[in-house]
Amino acid sequence: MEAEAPDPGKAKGFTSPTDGELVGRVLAGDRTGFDDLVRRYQRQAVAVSYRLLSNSHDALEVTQDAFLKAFSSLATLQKPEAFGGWLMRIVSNLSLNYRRSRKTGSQLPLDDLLGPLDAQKTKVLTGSDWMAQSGNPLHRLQSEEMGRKLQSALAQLPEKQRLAIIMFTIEEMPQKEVAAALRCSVEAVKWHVFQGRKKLKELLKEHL
Amino acid sequence: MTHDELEFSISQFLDGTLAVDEEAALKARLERDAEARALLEEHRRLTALLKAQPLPEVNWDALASHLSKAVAREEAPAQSYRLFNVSPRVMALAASILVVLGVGVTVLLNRPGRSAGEGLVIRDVHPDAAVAVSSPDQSSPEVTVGPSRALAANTSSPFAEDVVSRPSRVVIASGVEPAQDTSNPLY
Repeated sequence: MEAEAPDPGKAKGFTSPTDGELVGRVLAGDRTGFDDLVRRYQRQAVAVSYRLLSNSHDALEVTQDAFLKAFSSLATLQKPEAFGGWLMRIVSNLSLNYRRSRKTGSQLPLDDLLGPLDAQKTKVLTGSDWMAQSGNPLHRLQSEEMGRKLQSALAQLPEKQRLAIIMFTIEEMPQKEVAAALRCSVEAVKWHVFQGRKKLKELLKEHL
Repeated sequence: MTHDELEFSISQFLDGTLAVDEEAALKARLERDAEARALLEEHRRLTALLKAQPLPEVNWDALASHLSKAVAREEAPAQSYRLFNVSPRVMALAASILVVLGVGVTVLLNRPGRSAGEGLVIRDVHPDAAVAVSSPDQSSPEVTVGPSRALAANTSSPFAEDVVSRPSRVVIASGVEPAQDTSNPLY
């Protein structure tokens, strides 16, 4: 059930403004620049948060909080071009904090934004909804079981390795953005990815 | 090349971050080393497994609109901090002046020699009367109350001094006519 996730702003064409230009517009008082940044990064924000929280509703709530926080502290962003990595750092920090203190219920009708399948699910996802639309119940059970094991394995990784795997390997974010999000060098990102891969390979060896 | 170095190269190769010269060396190694190829396949399967994890179905347009509205709501209170469109520097200067004025007024009001009751005329009670009326200024006569010597000397008084305390002097009223009942010898 890989969701179609259009991300119009992400495909940067010749006419598409850069992150730095959009941040500059927002700081100059043009809030529509922030709407463009939202369209550009909302999918990535939801994805990273969802991989960390395993709960679509919580991921949406964290995404909203992250964008609000980014908007209110945009003036503190030292390198406007690094908006993406900065935003992902906010998303990952909020997700990890959210995980530690699970909120109960939301005042916002975020479920309306989810597809019918996700909206019907319980608040805490017990595993991945991997191929959830498969007509074969056995196949579906197996894939859900696999999703749970993968989530469990990811959760056992040290924080930086987990974030590096999620942002770089799974979400294919540029290394520079991942480095900005993790506040480390590009070389360190490579190392965290490698160490994370090695541990995951060990934890999931019976499935590889 | 150690096993760890080989695996690190494979990891970077799959991520597309391996330097060109190192990539050529790795490919040469993979051609002749079955164990390296098995390691590469293991990492490939792991990558496929990780990437196969789906995302929730989200209405991205609705989410963008929702976030835009949330940001707009956030923006409104943020603007209220810019009072009268005055720069923060001017606001800080104005606040400093207010603080200095406040401190100055407080110091003036609490200067030494100035008592809390300054301005009130409190006179000693007449030694032989329970109530003394004095009128230093016809426009604002004063009535003061205190114990008389006779009362103080009366040991048969039903009021024990340790039970009922009578203040030595109390200003009870200020006006043209005395409001106190002076016919009662006790008071």
